[in-house]
Amino acid sequence: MPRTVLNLGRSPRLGGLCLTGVCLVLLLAAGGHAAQPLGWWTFDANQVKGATVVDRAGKHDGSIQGEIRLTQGPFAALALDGEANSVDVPNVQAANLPARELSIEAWVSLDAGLVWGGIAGYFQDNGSFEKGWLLGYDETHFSLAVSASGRLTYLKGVTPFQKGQWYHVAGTYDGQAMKLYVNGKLEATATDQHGDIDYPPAAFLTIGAYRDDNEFYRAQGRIHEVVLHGRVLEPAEIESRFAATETQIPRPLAFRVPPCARFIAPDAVVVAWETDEPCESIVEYGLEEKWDRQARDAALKTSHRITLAGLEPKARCQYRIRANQPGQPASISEVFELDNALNYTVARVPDLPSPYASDERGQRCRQAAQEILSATRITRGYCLVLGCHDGQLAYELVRRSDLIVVGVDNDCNRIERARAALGKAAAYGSRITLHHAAAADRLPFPQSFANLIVAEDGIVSGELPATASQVIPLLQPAGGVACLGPLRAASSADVKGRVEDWLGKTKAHWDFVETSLGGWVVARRELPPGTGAWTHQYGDAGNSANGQEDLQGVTSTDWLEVQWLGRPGGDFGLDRNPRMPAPLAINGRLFHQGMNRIAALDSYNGAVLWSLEIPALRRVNMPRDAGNWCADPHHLYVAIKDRCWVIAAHTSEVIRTLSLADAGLRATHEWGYVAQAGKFLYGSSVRKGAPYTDFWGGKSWYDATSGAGTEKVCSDDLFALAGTSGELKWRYRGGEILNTTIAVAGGKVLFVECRHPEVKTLATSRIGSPQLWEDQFLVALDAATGRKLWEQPLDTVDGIVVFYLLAAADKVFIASSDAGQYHLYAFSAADGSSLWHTAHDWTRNNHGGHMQHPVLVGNAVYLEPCGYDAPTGKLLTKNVGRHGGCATYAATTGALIYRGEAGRISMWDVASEKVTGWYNLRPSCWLSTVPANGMVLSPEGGGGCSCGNWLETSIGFAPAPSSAAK
Amino acid sequence: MNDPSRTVFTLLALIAAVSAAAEPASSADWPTYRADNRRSGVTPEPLRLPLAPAWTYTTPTPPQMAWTGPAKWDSYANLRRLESMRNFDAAFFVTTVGDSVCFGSSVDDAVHCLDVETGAEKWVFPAGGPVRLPPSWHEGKVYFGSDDGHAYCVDAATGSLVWKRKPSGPETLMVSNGKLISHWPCRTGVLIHDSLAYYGASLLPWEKSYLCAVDARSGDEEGSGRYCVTFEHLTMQGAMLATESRLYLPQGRQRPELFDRATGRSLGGFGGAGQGGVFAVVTRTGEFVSGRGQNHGSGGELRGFDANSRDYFVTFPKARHVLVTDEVAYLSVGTELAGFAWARYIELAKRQTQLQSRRKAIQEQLAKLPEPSRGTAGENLKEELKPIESELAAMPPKMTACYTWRTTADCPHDLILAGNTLFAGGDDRVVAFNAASGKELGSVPVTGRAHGLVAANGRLFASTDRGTIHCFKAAADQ
Repeated sequence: MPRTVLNLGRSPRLGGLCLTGVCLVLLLAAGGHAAQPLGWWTFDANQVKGATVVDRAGKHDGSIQGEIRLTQGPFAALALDGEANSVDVPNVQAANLPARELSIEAWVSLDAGLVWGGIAGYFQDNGSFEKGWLLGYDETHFSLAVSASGRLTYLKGVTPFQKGQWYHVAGTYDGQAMKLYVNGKLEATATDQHGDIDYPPAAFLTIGAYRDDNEFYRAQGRIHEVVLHGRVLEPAEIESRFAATETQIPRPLAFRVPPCARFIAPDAVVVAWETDEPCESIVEYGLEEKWDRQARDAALKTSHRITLAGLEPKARCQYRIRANQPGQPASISEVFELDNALNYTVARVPDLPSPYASDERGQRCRQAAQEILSATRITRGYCLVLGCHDGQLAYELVRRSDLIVVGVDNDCNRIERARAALGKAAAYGSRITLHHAAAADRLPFPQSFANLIVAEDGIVSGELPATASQVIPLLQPAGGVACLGPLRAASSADVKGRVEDWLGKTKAHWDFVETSLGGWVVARRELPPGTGAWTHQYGDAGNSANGQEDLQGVTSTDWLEVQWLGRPGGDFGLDRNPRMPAPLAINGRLFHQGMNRIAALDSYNGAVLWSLEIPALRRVNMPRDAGNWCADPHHLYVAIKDRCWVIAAHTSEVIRTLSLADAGLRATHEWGYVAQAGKFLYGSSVRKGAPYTDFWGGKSWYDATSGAGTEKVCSDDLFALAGTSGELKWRYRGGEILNTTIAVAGGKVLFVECRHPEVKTLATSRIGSPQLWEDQFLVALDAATGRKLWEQPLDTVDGIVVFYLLAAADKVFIASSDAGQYHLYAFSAADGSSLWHTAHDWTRNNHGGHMQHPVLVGNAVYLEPCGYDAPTGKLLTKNVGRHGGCATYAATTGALIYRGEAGRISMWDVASEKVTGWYNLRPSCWLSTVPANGMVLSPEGGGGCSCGNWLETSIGFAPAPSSAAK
Repeated sequence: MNDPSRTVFTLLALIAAVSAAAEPASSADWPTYRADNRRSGVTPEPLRLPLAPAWTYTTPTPPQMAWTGPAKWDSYANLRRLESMRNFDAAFFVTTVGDSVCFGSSVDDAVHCLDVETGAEKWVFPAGGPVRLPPSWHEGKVYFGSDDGHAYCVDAATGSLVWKRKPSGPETLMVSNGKLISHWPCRTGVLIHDSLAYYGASLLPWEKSYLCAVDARSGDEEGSGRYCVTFEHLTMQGAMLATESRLYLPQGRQRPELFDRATGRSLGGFGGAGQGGVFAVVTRTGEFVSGRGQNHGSGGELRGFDANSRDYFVTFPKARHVLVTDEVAYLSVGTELAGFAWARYIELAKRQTQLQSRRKAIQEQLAKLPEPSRGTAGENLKEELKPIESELAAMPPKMTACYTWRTTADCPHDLILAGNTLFAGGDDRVVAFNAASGKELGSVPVTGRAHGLVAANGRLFASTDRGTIHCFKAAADQ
């Protein structure tokens, strides 16, 4: 068919209308469209009437299904929720659509990619029945699909779309060639299809979704406009149409450090970010993308921090950051979301009159509260008030802190009066609860739960409460403080005598702090010996999957009791399936990573100490990459895009953000591996986009035995920085370093690298090429200097499924999985010489049965279902507790913790080989239950699994007090 | 202060004389969660419209729910907007008898009794932990459970303790969301039937659970029909239901469990894994409908079972509430409300399930026949399938024909029937509909999501997720 500018396809309705130059002129005047399109749908307040979007070209009005949310501002759009809304254009048949010459264009901003994504189309793609056309996208790129002379050809663009950014996408087909344009530029051409478009007998003209008879996948993002033409737009016209509209779009804001939000009150959040250039700090926010609220700081700065107030309870609000720079057009960020249901800050005590008299006792309580908080600096977590009397000390403490106070008294009447008084102040229940206990030796409280212990009676009496053996065990052992007093004592020697008498055989450190009220005994409990930590993805920097927690000898779930249970829950996480980074636990804190967020919990009572919402934070598929975070006693180190954030574990303040070691890689790479050992922080550089982040759909379970999802993320370099200062100590660059093999142990950094020239020149750091398994070396560097200590050529079975390295002080183990078998190799850590090699069959080829991470316990290495003597490789057992789900193993000094029979969290005693478990408690699909801080900690990781009866909560188990006897 | 218990007692005696079944203490009262022990949400009490605000009770802190919201999605199964299966304490639900209205608080761990006329507090009874379900009224007393592990009986007039029982005995508490609670909290409420008080104490499915029946007046555990039995692998949570012979216990994310009321013996569960949820109703016609659990491939729904045999017979996809009267049932699905002929519908649904089951059996038989020798046997089976397929194909229009009306109603949070008026809880409003036609009759504004609706004694109460209790009464009466 000869091409003609005014060809309007087979539309009888439009064909007769516009075949004149007059019409063309009118149309140009009306809307800037050179010829009447077949359909023209603009999603703004002028064109959207109720659920109808008017067809500016004719009679094919669209019908918005689901929620109708028009974003406001200069570039109005329909918000697509990815769940329930899209646009149907009803009563359209092939006869109304272009027969051969087609152009379809759209302005769209996507928040998520999809395997099958649709912007606008009329098609069927059901097995071999593929007909029609579609302007769409996949997980990374835009696409155009057309069927004419055969099945649909999906023509893919070359520019990966950035989430939240606006794009003009256009596709054309002229009977001979398909062309795809992104932002006015031709990106791809295909000539597979010839002739008239082959339409299905029936289909759906749908905007904002991929829809045919069998599939209906809705887009998530925004759509401003869709125009369907019955002619082929020329490249210049497409470019000019893009350029004409582009000016309306605010410039995307480029962050130096992307935003991070920290809830500071039930209705307030602080948002912080950094820009390269000084600018004002402006955050627009509101519900449903109505930007009706603004927080602004007019000072020009690069480091921004601003408070958003007035957040509604449990509501999701959106925010975006605007940068106004002198002499520059405004730029604006993508849209971020804050879900206030995930705001774990404690309830505010309203500003009501105090229910307590301002007499001498009252004044003494007020001053005592002040002095206690000042002396201990404990302002969060749980406080136990012994002898809580009328509740005033509890009241004064919550008025001055974020503490949750539990009071106890032996007088029921006093408790009743205290509850009534605290009820009047609206403090009872939300921040303070009171309990009755007949005597100090019958306190109904769990050991180790209190971050702060005080005694109200003592404020008046000057006496120490109960006995230390009843009080001190209740104290949280990693920083918890008992602040008792003020003592009436004649001299410091007298004080020492009284305190030591009181302590008796109870182990505690104590100080004496003198204040205007008198002297306070400030006591701290010692961490029990054998307390472990889980500081890296697999326990330690050596990847042993063992945090050396002895759980006081407990090796069975029967001997563990629930110490705490509760938030965060299923709504905190990403889902259970995409093999997320493990939680970390050290120094009494538990760090839990969710859907672009982090929470710090007290390991002993589950109190949420702080939480950060970081939209740029995400990494999944841990079996094929290194974890994105690690911790030491005082810091959390988190790899986020091209930086590593150093976060104060106590306060959540971002102390600094560290850049990649090689300035030349910062534009093209992001932070890969992260580990902390001794005085050094270790990092690596991977090409942008290499870390896995997709979590939607079955493919993002990452359970395959080969192919997509099993590619290994590799680093182009490896470096060490000094502590938290970020000073570069050394940098290594050799081959492509497999991230799952990097380990730090015994003063060495160990890894496997591939030096194959084709692998080294690949444009991606997510490598699935067969050459990755050639030309490999096992390398050891001096951890302090980066000096190469030794290297050995390596020839293992290809780790197509997974490939792990574990390092102990004197040995290195490599586990490689492929073709139905695990292979386990042992090497000397002194020189890399081979010690032994063994192999055994997988227990199954799905649900993680083929990708388990080995575990080191003492002198044994376990890899389901076998255990081997580490020095010799001798088989010790074939009876390792069988995993019953997709997760992997973590170890204490005497047991393995894993997802066992019926999918429940289980323990396998390495000595007795006995299995125990918690019925209907599940972990995530990788590693979310860790033994550390004297506890078994299981922050919620299974949320999203509608596959069973799971309890679905965060939970902390402690050895039962009677477990020693057992 | 008036003594509502006297009225309640008299009416109860009258009702008991004509029926042994547990029914509302009075048609005018709303003495237990969702009106009666079947949790019908139905009262004959008509409310005169339009309604106007009478009083509002507010708390500075919204309900502190036992559980967080559900996961945002099941990404593996491509399911979005998962329903909560454990939101039994989303609001301060009220019960009301005579001139008093009561609610339990998950914030201040107490039961509050308000004057129904003014909303002024009459008394407060402090428990040792959150009270997540509203009290049940019976003979001048109110009964409730707490996260402290106790079931309580309190004098309705004074708020003084009559008895309390904790089946798990003394224990070391655990920390949970700012409170110290029992490992065996009472989250079933306390149900009164035949002067017995029934309750469960349960949470952790790897620990034992308690199901208890005690004398309602004294709390005594010894005597006929009384027991305290233990079970493994249960997690009782959500308001218990009862009929004359059975107890029904929702279990959050686990499927509901059926018990013999007389002995406490377990009779098995309803549905399969993942089919939990805390919405449940037992109809007078013998069906148990529960939800809104979901499993791979489903998006949350209500499922219907025979209340005794536990046989499944129907699914209402994405449904949130169902109300069933003798003739008509009302269904809330997404943004739609509908009325349909219940008896006819379930007759068809049961037949459909039978046919589907038979079809499946035949198909399995067919699949087992070896291909070469399928011959006559196969043909016979195929012949047998034909009328089944034909009848099944005719079912959907027949079932659709049962619907007498459908209307748009974006009020997904609660649904009750008062006389001939449906009240549906939405975001910041409660909407009234004519039960016969579905016609919208008007709405009243509330603060937050209206999760708990109650109609009694000429008043409408709406409890919201903000911790607010609104009381409305006929504008003409104010």
